[in-house]
Amino acid sequence: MTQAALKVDHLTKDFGHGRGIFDVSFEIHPGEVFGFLGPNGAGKTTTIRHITGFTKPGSGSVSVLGLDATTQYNQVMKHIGYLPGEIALPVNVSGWQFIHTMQQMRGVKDDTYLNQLLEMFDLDPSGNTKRMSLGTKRKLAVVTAFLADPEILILDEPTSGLDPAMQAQFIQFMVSEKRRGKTILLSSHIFPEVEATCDRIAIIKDGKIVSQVDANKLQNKDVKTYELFFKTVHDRDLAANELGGAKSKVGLKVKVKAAEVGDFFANQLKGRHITKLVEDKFDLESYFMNFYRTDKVFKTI
Amino acid sequence: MSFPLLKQTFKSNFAVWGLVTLVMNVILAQLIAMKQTQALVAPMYYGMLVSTMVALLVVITGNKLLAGQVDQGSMAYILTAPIRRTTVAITQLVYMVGSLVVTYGAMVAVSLVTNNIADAGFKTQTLINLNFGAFMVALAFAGIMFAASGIFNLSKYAFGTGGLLIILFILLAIVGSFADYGVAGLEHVQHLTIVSLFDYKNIVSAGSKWLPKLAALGGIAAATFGIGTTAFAKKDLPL
Repeated sequence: MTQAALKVDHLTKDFGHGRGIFDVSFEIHPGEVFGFLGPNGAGKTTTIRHITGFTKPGSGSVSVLGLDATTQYNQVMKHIGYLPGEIALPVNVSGWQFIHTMQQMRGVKDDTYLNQLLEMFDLDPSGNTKRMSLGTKRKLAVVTAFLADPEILILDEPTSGLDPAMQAQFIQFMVSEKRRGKTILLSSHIFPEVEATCDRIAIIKDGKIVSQVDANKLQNKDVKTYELFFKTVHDRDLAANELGGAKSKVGLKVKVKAAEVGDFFANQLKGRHITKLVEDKFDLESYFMNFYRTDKVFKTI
Repeated sequence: MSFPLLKQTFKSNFAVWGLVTLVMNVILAQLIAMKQTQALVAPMYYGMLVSTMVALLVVITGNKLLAGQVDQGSMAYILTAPIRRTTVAITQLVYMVGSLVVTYGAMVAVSLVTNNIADAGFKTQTLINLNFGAFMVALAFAGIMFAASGIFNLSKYAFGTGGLLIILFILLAIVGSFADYGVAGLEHVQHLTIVSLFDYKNIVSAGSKWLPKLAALGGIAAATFGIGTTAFAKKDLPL
């Protein structure tokens, strides 16, 4: 078996009053994109702080490529690029100064990848960090976090507070890094970006992992579900007899194997009086909302 | 030690350091150069002013070196580089001590040159010893602030402990100094502040008691710098 790129093993950190993380375990394999979902305050950032060695575990351990993240954190950092959730750039330096300092501290002498990143994000790092917009700051943070081209990327809510266009840019970046074989831990509570990138997803709630799922199985990429709407009920019933599927209130839900989608559209729908066709996409959001819901009962005022 | 970090630290603290160093040197040169104020060089400048001015520099810089950057969040970027926290703390410590060495080194040069030009009549060795003594006070202050900065994650706590303690020591030194002006009972106050471990009177009268007292200041500095470094390396960081 290949060595896990990142392994969190029965990690517990109790801050008291029920806050903290409790017995968190997961493994990320090399080249895998791992989604770490959970509401605010569930323990995503706390877990990440253990991976970067900023916090020491109460019990349990974290290892990155076999290195202990708590004691050998400086070795671990050679392989990790970490984008903090809160963008707090040093003040009173220009973007270039910041980039050059980080280059020196990480011992990067080659500018090739840096230039690629700058181009990809269309970033002009001149000017004082204080006067940059949130989007520019976040871009600068990404560029400095990943300029050493590390093999493991840890992103803590990378798109929160960004406009949709810029969110798309970040998702594009993650997808392209995934293609280059990077291992990615993406902490987020934004479903589309998790859906677009992740191979596996863990959901954390109140400091505990409540579910770990394979994103591909969840999305059911092998079978597509379509809901068909017909001109008349008669048309619907006719189709139901021939195509099978389940009748809904006014339409018909049919499941089609991904490989047969072409045949389905070309032949089986031919001659039917269809008014509307909707793909019944798997909805990550509604799936996870079950976990998000609090068990608390609110008193009506 | 990390040179890129040292460079960054030097740059971001240059303005405050440069300003305080300049003011300290200008005032020193003035006092030595003017006939009427030459008598005040030891009791006023080395007895009070020099520690007060350097306290300002030390408290601001000391906070910025560790706690300020943890509080602000930019420490996260430093620590995502492959660098040990002990190395970060030692680099900041080197900057703190190094910048003070340059400040007081400049004061040695300025005081000797001014003394020569104005023919103020101070012995060379006396001026060197006075500056060295003042440097040891600054070093102890720096250590105290560095310890506070290493222990706490919030600037307000670093200021509220280290900064407050340093101000308290200065206030007690000022109150205690009135023992020299007729209120003998205040002499006990001088035992409450580490500033009095810099025995400028003994240096001026070329005595031998001052050196062991300065060693005590050195001990305080060594201990507090050690505490700051260890605390910073061991604690959980909210980054």
